Amino acid sequence: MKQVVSIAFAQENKNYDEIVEFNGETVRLTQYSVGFDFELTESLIKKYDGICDVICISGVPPRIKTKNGILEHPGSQRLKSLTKVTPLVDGQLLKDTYIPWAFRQYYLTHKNPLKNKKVGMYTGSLQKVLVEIIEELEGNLCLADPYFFLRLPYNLHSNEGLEKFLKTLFPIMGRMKFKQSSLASFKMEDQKVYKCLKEFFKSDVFVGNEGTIQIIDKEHLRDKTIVLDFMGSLMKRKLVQAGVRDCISCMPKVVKGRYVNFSVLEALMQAFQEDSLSAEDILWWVDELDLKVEHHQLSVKKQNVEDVSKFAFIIHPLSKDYLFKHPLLKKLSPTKKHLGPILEKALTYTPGFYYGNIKGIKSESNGKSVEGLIYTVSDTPKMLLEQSPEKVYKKLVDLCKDAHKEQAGIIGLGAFTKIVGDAGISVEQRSPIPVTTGNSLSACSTLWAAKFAVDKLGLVKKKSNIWQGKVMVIGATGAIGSVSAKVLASRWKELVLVAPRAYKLLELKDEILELAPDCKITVATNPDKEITDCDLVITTTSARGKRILDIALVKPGCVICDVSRPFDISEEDASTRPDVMVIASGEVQLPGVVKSNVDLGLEGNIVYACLAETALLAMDGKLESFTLGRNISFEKVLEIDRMAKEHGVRLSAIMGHNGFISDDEFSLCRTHALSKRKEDG
Amino acid sequence: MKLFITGATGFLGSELIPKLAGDCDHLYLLTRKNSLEKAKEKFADYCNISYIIGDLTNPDLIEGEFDDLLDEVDTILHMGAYYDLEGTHKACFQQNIQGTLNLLFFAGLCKNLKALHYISTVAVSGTFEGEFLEDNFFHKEEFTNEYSKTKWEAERLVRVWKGKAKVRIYRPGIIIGNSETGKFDKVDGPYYFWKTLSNMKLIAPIISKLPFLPMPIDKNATLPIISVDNAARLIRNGIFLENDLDLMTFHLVEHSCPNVFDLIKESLEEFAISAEIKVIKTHPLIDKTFKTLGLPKEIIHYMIIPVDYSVKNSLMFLGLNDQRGFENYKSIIFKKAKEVFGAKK
Repeated sequence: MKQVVSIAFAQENKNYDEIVEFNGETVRLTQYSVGFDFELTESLIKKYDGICDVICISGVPPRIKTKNGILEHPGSQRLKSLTKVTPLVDGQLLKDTYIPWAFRQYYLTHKNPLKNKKVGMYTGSLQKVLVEIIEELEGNLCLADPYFFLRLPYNLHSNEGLEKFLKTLFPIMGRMKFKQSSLASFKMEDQKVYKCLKEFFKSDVFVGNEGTIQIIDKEHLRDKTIVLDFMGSLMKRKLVQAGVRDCISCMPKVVKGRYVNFSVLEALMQAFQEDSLSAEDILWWVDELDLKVEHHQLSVKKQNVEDVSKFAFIIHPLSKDYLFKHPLLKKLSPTKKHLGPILEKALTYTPGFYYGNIKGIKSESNGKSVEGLIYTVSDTPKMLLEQSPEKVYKKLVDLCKDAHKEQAGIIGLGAFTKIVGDAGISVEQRSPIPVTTGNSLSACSTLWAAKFAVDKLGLVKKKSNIWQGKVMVIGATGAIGSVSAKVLASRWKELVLVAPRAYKLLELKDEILELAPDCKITVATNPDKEITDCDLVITTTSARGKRILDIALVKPGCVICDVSRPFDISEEDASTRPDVMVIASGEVQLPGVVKSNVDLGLEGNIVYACLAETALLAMDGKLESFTLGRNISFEKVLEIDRMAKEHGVRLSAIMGHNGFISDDEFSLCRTHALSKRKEDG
Repeated sequence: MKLFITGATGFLGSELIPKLAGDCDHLYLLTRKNSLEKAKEKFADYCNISYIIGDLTNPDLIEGEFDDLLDEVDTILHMGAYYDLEGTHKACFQQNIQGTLNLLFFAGLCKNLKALHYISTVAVSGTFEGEFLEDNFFHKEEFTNEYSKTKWEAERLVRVWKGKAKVRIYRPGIIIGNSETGKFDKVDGPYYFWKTLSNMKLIAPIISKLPFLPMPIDKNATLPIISVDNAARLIRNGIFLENDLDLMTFHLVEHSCPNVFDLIKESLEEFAISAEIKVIKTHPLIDKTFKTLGLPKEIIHYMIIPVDYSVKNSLMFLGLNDQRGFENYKSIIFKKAKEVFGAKK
């Protein structure tokens, strides 16, 4: 019978000696857990050299591959060079070959739940392959190596930092003897002394290897996710006891009746061949044994209803007049005209700041309360668009960092802050928390509002769920515009797309035709020609108050949805046409008793849709960068629509330029329109 | 009954083998090559004993072919262990853990095995205080020395062994000399004291003149001792006990163990030292003092931790009370100890 001897260097009282089945053969598998006894390890290796088939050793410092070469503790080196006849393996080859593959597989097939999560690793050096993978999967790393090995009070945050750390301090670490007392304990109370632990304990996911977790205090693991190289049944019991939420274990049970670690598994593989294992052999085995990552739910997360999660939102003054609303500048408001432009410019140099909060938002479906932190930058729309985007990004990222410190789980970009530069992508890359522009819900609510208004006026006929009329989207190539157009195309008979750049329009037209082949689509760079017979106009531009359409040309009884801020249709223009319904859509109401200590220019529970999207994502616990960049996807709009309905985010009563539009106003408008149409014949 | 025995040449083994040889069909003694002669000499009177050359630390235990043995053996008695309170982890591990693992593997191969008898120790109680039951085991105690730690793990291995045979675990206390002859083999437990006391006048004459002697003692602590002949008798009874339980544990200690304080007081009298004992809490200096006096510091453990080993099973099944207790033979023990250590009154 083949015999494999395993020496578990860092463990105690884990000895066994039994016959296991592997690869259809019985193998005598003997494990000695030597409890850091170097001499005993030496004598065991010497004793079994030439007697058994393979010796494997685990729990000694591994070889660490860095850019500057391979680092290995001299002690490990010595142990591994002791055998003369019997092959000695340490599981390193298997780990290096298998883990990166398995780990990636798991996360890629599970929609990357690591992204933007805080991932705490007890030691990056011992699991360097994972450090690289986690970085690739966009997890926010927090490596406790300095504390773990040398009790230094700081953490590392990247692979690069780790390399630097190893390069500087490995000479010292290499001189340290292996013993349990030289390793850290990660006790909760230690964070008073080692401030770095505070940050470390806040991680959502902890990554360790079996040996490390064995030794450390497990209190901080309560309700967290842990990633382990492998989890034995004893370890599972311990983790359940510690209240760990779930465990991702890279190694399934491959040997009947016993979980074995990597080093033992590699040894078992080695036992079946003469020459030493190669990476190809390992790949063959991985396939043969069907190795894959396992997910174990260890405890159910307690849904704490009282738990308030936070989100953040960034706004900015909508025009220079708003600047004078600030208490410090209020007294200067008589000089608005003269000081305005200077002040507008000057204020671009100030950083963003915390403005106020919104409390009392409570989901109707899961009862979760969320709280919003409102931040503001002091730039007006004009300034935001004129400045170099880098400058604005920096301001926004600083606010993201602050929001992160205040434990906000997600941050929303309001109004013009989301159209600066690449529309949130750069900000998201540098932000410690997910970022969303809120455009999905804005688009969604626009469509709710349009549908509501057209319904209310009742001037357009509907045939088998299709409006028998013409709809125009101005700014169709924009983020909200294009999705609106896509949605409307399947509901309306005719669609006019208006945007300044024709080539973009043509692309969009083709795209829409694929989705809705029955719709008649016209494109134009100027709305004036087509606007005369449109029943619904949606404007979503960043024209900053420039006139984009001649209101005199609009068809009586038309509904104009003005999504842009500042408005595309000025108040004066609107008042010249009582027979046209101008609505300022995009506003929704939040569920719960909402109280805010800041004036967002809206009343009661009503907020901007982009803010509502941020709040929704917080309520749903879907803390991810939901909408980013200029394109919003059709799917996202449908998803946010579902979320909104679920949590109770609804269209507020339709708003015009001067607040709510009442039912009376709707019927008045209808009367005007009908009489105007008669007049025009 | 065909018994396979390890550790037969030890102090307990020498007492036990003659007791078993008469009643068993055959004994197979696992013997190291270099103690074979000694063993043969020791048990020369018995013709039903054969010697199997091997070593506990050998993965196969036995040198050469042993297939016949696997069919023959129906009972195993595993006494072989490394007993030294000051032993290093390496030495204790090799004999106690590795040895037990190898033995258990061998036991798994025996086709007709009916029972496995394993000699553990009361030291597995670690730092446990209070009444320690025979069934107590998976308590979370710490150990002050490598011997106890490795014996605990060894007992755990025996307890979780997946074989089909019945398992009997014996936990003897400190094994002292023969209750009839006083003969002893190894300086252990109280003998350390007696050795030191007998040489006291040489090592530290000042001590005999002190009015009092500070000692780290818990007044409730008792010394879990048993005479070697009694331990052997109880194990023999255990081997021949008919009982269907899969696992049984027995504490082999005298029914009434001597109180540490009383024993030391008596010992002082015996060795003509008139100083009074002053009970103190343990102190870092004590370790050093003990070292100077030639006492292992591990013995302090027995003096300060009051633990009462329950002997329910031993009383009920092994007839613990059939032999007279320590009070009745202590004079013999003292006499022999003084004789050996050459103390002068």
